[in-house]
Amino acid sequence: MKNRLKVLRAERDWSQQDLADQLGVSRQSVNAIEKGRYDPSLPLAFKIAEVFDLAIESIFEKD
Amino acid sequence: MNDINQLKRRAGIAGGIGGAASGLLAGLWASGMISTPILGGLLIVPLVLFFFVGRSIILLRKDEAIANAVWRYNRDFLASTLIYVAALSAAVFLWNNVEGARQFAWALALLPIAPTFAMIYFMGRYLNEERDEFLRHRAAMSSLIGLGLVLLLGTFWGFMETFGVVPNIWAWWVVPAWAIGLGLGQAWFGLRDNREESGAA
Repeated sequence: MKNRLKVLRAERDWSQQDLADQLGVSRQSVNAIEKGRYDPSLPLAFKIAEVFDLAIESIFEKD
Repeated sequence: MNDINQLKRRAGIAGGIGGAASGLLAGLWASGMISTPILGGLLIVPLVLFFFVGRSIILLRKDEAIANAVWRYNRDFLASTLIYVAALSAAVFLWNNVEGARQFAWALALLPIAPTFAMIYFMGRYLNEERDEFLRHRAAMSSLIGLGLVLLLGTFWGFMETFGVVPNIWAWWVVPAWAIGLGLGQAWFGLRDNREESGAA
């Protein structure tokens, strides 16, 4: 699954750690999701959408 | 925080390798493949690793942001590994040196069994308690690598033994073999993540 996490993070000038802290997960988790190495669960995807104040489908899209 | 995550990961890898090394050495010593002086010399490896884990636990404990699941797992797995080494040593010593001890073979056998079961329980508990789903996924995958190693070695050795190519080995080897696979899995995931993270924001 592709995602726009890196771009969205850069727009807000957040580090991976900043985002991880807001999500309550490790920085490794954010990095793995960003790189497309790990697809988040639905609850975590909703949380990511909430943090960016966006709809899930505008952050994640199918390959 | 990055340093803390790195410390957590390294402590986990060191604890896994230290535990596997302890189990392996205790097994080799108990089966007479290495002598006591050689065991004493080789024990420096897990002891150094456990020292690192202990120091990491103290450092990590100072940071309240550290997930309790990781801390509890490291602490309890380390404790049960040390108890396992002590219990196995005591059981072998009693078996070989104390007259009449063999009447209590069941009790002697249970000495190393109990802490081994505890290690397996602590791994299961960690998987259940870890709230970070990526770390939980990584731990589960590492555990599966350990299981795969056990199945591969067990099948390979089993058929070799059936056809008389290799001697019989005791079944308790499954736990050290699994722990080695678990440690290798964690190390591989750790290296891969470190490599990919270098240069990341």
